[in-house]
Amino acid sequence: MKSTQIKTLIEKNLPWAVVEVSRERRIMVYTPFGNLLATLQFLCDQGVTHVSTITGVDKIQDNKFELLYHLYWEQNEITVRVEVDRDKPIVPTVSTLLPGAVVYEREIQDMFGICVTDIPDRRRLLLFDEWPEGEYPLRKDYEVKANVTDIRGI
Amino acid sequence: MPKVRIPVGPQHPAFKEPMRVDLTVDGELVVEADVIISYTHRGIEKAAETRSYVKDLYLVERVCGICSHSHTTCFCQAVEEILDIEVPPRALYLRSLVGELERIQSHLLWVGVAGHELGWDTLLMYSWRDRERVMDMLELISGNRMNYAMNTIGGVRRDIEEEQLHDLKNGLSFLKERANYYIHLFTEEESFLKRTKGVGYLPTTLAKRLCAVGPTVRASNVKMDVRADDPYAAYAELEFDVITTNTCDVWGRTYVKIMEILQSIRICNQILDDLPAGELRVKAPVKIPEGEAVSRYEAPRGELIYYVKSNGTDKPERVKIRTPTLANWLVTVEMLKGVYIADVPIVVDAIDPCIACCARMLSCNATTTPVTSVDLTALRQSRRNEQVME
Repeated sequence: MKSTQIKTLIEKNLPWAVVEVSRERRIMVYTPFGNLLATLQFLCDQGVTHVSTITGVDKIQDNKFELLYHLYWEQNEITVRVEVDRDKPIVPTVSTLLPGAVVYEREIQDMFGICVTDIPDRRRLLLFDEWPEGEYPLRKDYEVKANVTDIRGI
Repeated sequence: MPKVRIPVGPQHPAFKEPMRVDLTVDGELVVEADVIISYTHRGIEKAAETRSYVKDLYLVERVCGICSHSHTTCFCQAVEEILDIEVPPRALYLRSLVGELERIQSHLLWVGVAGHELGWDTLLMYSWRDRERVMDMLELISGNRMNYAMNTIGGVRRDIEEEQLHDLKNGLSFLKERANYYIHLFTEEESFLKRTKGVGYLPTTLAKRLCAVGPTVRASNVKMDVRADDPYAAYAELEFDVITTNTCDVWGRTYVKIMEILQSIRICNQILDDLPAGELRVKAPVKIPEGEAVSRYEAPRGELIYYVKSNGTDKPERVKIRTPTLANWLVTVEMLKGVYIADVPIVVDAIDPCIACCARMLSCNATTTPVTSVDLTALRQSRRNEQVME
């Protein structure tokens, strides 16, 4: 399906969504936070099953996190984007609609400390067990502490 | 009989990289499985934010040793899209050529590993010997056996000469002959069929629902290939078939990979025949204007996706990498349910796992356990000092 057709389809059915086609096969869908699940529900009803990944972006200057849900459908990469308050980083799980998303939600929890409510698997994915609580490496205000100091400590 | 929980890994002879598979077994049968990969996270995404785009190119090349060209191409594509520059056609063709040779190299490596997991080490010896030929061809083009450093933002760094074409063609016909031999082997060899047919079953609906990618999903009869669906580099102008099977098992995954070698050879021959003349690269600025791009690539293991966001400086704001292995973990857990313990290694290896890729490590000083990175010379020096003191 052509990107412009998908754009019209989404715009017609989801009045809250702002749709941009940056180039053929790349569609950006800007959605208010409250409408995230409704947007994804609509796309899943159309037949979307594949979630490529979820990207987190720390917009520290706006005090926001942005989450990008990269979906793939009919030769098109559809990216659903929402902004989350940085002081209250809680998002609902989308794994009820897209079961494959659970891996990426776990990654988001590890890396950004964004709490995903009702996630079926709450364990860490990438960071090891001894990693300190409350430190999220991909946040912009996280300080990388790696240095070559304690050679004997290996 | 009570159910028993067996941890396999993180260090285990069956796995080539640190990963743990927790199996719950009932006698010889696996009833529940869980995969844990948090042993090699390298923090490449964080590191990429602190380096310039050119340095990042060499950093992302090292996300994976086997499919390094995939990562640089995917990253370059994203940056080129932000810059809105047109890459010369010759560069696009060369990118596809190296990409396909890399796919052959990766699939032959996998054939060997699969043979090894089945206790069939002769196959490992044969296929890795053939793989040497592809590596030689890659070395001929790029100067390197691994981490080819072919790509740069705006094009490629090395050209191929007229006299190299002949050697490459010879190499391809040798590989074609060998690939045909492997197809014969995998479809006729009784012991191989017995070990792989019906093992690690993954139905089509489940593969789609759990978002599997690459040969894994194609072996479950889903026609999904980024090269065909979302053409990049020169693939829009090249002819090839997307290989699928409906057997949904380990045999199917083997079949898809081996048939893809033939398709890759077909693509390489087309590229060598009609390689367009012209420039290799266009000059790209050091500072990248504000923007963002999503880039997709069909790596040997499946769909690779990059998201790059720039902020007007010479360093990216965010580089997100999702490697194919990470996407295939959920289905691996499903595939393991119901197999015999003896089949666990081949089932896990059938997705061609690459742990270093999917975990991307971070070196850090945690407050409780210090974990530090040390370069080899410093380490050697410290050991030497210790010996002197003793």
